[in-house]
Amino acid sequence: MSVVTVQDLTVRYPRRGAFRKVELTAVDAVSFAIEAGRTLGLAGESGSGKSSVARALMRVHDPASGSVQVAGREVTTLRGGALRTFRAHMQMVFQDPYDSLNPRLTAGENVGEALTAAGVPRPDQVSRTRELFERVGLPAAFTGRYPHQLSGGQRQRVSIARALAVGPQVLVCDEAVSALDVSVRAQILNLLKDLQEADGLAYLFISHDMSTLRFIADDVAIMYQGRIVELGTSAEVFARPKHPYTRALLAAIPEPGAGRRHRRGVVRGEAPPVDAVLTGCAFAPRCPLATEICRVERPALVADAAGHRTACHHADAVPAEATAEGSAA
Amino acid sequence: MTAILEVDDLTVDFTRQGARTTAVRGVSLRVAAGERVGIVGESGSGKSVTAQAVMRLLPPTAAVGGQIRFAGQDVLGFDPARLAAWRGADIAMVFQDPMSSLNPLLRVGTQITEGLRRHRGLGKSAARAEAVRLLRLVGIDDAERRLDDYPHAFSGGMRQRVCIAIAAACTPKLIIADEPTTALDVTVQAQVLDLLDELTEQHDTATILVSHDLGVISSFCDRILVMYAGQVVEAGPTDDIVAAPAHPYTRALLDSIPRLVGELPRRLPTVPGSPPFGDVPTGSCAFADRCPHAQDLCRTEAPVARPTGSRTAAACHFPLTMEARR
Repeated sequence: MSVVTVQDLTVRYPRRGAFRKVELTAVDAVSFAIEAGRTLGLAGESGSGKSSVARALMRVHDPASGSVQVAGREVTTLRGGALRTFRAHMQMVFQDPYDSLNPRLTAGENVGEALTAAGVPRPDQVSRTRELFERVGLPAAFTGRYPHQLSGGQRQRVSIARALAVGPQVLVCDEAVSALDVSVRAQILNLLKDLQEADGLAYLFISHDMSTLRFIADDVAIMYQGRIVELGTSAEVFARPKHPYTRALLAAIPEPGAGRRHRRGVVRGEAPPVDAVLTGCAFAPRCPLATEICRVERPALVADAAGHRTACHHADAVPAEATAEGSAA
Repeated sequence: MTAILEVDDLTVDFTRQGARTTAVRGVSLRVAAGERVGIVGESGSGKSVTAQAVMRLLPPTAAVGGQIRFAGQDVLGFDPARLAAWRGADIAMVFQDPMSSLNPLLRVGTQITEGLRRHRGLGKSAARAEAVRLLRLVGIDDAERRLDDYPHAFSGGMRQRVCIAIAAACTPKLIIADEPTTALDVTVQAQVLDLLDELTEQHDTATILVSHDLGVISSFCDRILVMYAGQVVEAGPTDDIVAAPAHPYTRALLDSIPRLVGELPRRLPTVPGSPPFGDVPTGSCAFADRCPHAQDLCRTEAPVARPTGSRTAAACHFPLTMEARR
């Protein structure tokens, strides 16, 4: 049973500085679902629209169209008190805990604010805060420290404690470990896995880092220019990537021990600007397999027998052997 | 093989409001012509400060000790005129953020030709022709026209290509690239690394690549130095170190990166705590508090670099045994 169901989500932003009202489409009819206790990884490069998906889900920015259901309730139409109540079901962890924690409040007070919002009476807050700190692996004494007195990893633990304070079913992690040092990143990834196993939390885990996603995500969606181009279980997508963009993305990742100086750049160029008007497949200008049909007709996200979905006219032309294995050999 | 750069026992101390912090504590390194050397470390390890010390880019609040020799000459003794003639001509740097290292108010062409005219003495039209060649070399289409564009008209990857064109303009003997691909998307990062590879191969330019990303470092460098808390804890050929690290910290760094192929552990192996920032106690191993193999000696005596293989060295009292390295 899915906790989060997203149907044809579209997000548009007004373009500033233009005389005419121009809108750019950051997310273009994206659909996915996340079950309780599972993690959907959302991958993509900058400007692919992955953070816009998170912002629309959290109702930070209202979607232009489409439906988002969390625990069976439509959230795109919620207003006022109902919207506040909904936020108890879904919480967010951001990339930079230094920006997302209030620097003038202690770590404990930062968590306390979330408890107040969740309606926990003040006398109970101290003990609840301690419990939360213990869950995220911080000593109780840290409740009295200010964010600047904590290391990056400790701050991210406080952010997670704050997100958990309201007892959410869904956690949206937007590049939650990207700013952390490698040795600290592994600790936070383990913590997120432990919390998920204990509580059956559903995660939407947004990251540009494919190796992190392979570790944390059960399913992965690859976004390019506001569209999902590939969606499947992590095992499938990493072992048998079907979309040429996914293949390029995986081939470009330098792995320790993968050998030196093999040609890394598989595709030329960069993603087109977000306001580019696209007909057909967004990846066509960079794609080694692109043909005429790719430039005129937008490929639909089609599932194969195993449920692995790809939006590519030439998905079947892609050789079966995986790129990741090929480049590591 | 002659060394282009020789750094011996480099130390850097910063004094702020009367408080003294040591950023680099006795780093030695050698870079031969055409060699690619990587410095890898987490935040606060001193890798960027080391790079900036070599370029003489540190502020006056920094006290630099030790020796830096470039082609046999004492870099720390250079006067401002000598520095200006040296930078850009013999040594060049590529920074992480191409937007803040390019001047937003000057056309890209002006910024590329500046070094060509100054160091190579080219005239206006010759410099422009050379700039066109350089832009083409770094893979920018329509180079002739793009010379008249301002940096904001370029994408992030294109800007970094421009920075590399500027660094390569006078075919320096050494390019220091400090996190040159960290701000870029991974497909663009791959293109930029390929480009650096081509340039160094064509001109036998030596490169020091500074990065927090062991993947980036090991895909590019012949030799790596692993830094922790201002010191080199392990150094040697990339393949040896990645295949069989002797220092527990290097091992931990390698283990904490989830791989793209093969079995995945349910939990990632981790080391507790986080890298130290600022003051590190002397007279002990800086990694001892986080190290799974630490013993009493580690807390009472700072280890010095000792050979751990035919070409590798590590600063550890108890380097991993051959079995534990695999």
